[in-house]
Amino acid sequence: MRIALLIWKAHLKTAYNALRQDTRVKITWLIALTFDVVVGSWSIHQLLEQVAQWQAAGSTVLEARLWLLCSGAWGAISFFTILSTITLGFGNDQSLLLVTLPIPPAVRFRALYGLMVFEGIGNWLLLESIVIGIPLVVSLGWQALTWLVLLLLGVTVVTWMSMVATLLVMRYVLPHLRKALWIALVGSTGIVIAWLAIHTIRLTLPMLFLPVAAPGPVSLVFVVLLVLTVGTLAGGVGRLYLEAFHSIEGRSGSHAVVNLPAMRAFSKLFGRYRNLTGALLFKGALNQSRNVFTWGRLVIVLVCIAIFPLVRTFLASYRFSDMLLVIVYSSGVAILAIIEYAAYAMSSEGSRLNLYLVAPLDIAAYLQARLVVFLIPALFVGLALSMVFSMWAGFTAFETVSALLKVALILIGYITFIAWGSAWDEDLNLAAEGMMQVLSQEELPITPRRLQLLGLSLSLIAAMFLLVWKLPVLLSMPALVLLDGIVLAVGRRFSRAYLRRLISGN
Amino acid sequence: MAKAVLGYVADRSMLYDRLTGREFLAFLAQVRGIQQLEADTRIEHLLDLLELKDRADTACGTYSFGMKRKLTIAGSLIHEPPVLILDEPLNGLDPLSARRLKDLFAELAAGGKTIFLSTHDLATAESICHRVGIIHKGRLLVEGSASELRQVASAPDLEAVFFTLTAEETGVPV
Repeated sequence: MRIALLIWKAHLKTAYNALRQDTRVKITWLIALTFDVVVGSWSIHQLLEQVAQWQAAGSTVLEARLWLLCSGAWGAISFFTILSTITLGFGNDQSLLLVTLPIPPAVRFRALYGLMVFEGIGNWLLLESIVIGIPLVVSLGWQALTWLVLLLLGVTVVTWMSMVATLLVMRYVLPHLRKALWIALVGSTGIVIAWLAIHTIRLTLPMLFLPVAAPGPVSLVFVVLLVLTVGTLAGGVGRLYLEAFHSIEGRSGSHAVVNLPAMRAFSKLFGRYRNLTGALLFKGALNQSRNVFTWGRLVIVLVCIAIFPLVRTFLASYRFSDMLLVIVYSSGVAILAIIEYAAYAMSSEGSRLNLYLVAPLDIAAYLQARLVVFLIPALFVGLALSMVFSMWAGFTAFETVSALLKVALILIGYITFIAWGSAWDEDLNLAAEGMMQVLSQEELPITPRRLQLLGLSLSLIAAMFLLVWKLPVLLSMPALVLLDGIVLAVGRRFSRAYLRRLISGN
Repeated sequence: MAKAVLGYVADRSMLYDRLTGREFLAFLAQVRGIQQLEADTRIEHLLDLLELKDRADTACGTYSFGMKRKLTIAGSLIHEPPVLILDEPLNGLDPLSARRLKDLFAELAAGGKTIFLSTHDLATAESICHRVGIIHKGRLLVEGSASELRQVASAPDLEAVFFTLTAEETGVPV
């Protein structure tokens, strides 16, 4: 246990030092705290009303709903545990160092498990405990205690199960990535199609009422499981972790890359255009098709399409018109599909920007090509969705065209802002080598400037949605055109000036 | 444009980890507007020349340090520039890779290319460069062949030449 304590202490010290000295960490903490306070307050308010309603409906309904609530909370914890297992257990210098040290497997697992609780899911656990704890205590009094104990013990077991599942995937599935990707894609597409089919033919599934167990005995089972996980089973999971680690780190460098048939066709098509835009599209198609985040985004887009009918029904009660919904939803999903890499269109290049700077290209041509490359997928997704949703909502031809134009205008303004604005954070000395470095540089808002850019871009999109919402059709269209014009003119001037200054070293 | 005749190799690899070596070169050829057939021929030639053919279809991110450096050099040669600027091209390479690259530079120079090689390794400069310029604090102190420089500073090698010329500023006794 002494070694596990030492490891935890080192991590705590690192976190403390980072919080004191690193601006990025301070900003991240500030954002997390703001998020906790805002989301927490809103959720407590909502849950207080809900619990009162459940109580009024009788003890059977109350227990069933509380079980559902706990399951939801565990589901969220499971998601964050999976992410944290990957970030804490693999792909960083600390994990590499720990693997080289002679630590018994059981201790190794306990150390990772402890880190998971306070570093990986700590914030979410705290948020869930407060959000669920306060309404339950206020509404149920002492009875809430048994549910809170169940919730927390459940978290320990769910965390363990999620860690083991992640390790099993990394050990046995990742080595067969191509097959796994296909199964995931086909599976998620199947689910979406099934969901759409069910909704379209207006099938309603009967609500299943399973007999619910009392929280006390289940908590006892969880205690036994917890003792087993940190006791007898710790050695086995520790060994599994080591095997997964060696499997990931020791993957042969000679294996071929994953080439999806559709992407091959796209890259061939883009390869025909012998200019910068064609080159960026060629590179982008291949690069993104091998990026796991792209597939995550695709799944999110599919889910968003699937839940459109639900969102439509929900927002109808808030007097949202179908026109507004189609415009906001289509452009929102299109932005969601590219947001985490478009926001760093240029800054994610780092030192690789030199590849373009040493080519005989004008800065203006480079900026234009960048914009086109990010606009094409966003417009493709946004316009296709608005077309489908317009048909779904039964729009006339005029309404459909109006929706399409507005979606295009919103996307042009927004994408221009984030793609050209990202020149602001470009750093020619920043290297992007190795999985983690590439991942953090291309996918995460890790710098204060990126965070500010994202914040500003959200204000812009809010302003655009407001124009569409509050102004009549004849006025909202020119207003969007004007806003786009301003963004294009200012963005072009700013990004050109910034890149020039970067090259001259001032 | 001047950039069209220049090839540049930075002191670090500037690659896209998820592209294969062949795809990376194809991308650079496209950026420079080289026609597809011509590009394919040049890519094959460069992969051969730099002994990268065996790993041409695996992701750049899985390459060793030396292979990444060689791919970067191949990228700088894709448009067949008459002038090549190399920034510390041999840093961190194993002796065999370093030797092969030195031979390649000699071949390219013999073929008519002008190579500007920036290095802190004076022994390398002495062994492969026809002319050497010593830059100190942004100022060109001296320029000439290695033997000319040795004569100017009455020193046995370039390291001694450097210390002689910068003795006052560095404080290192000659």
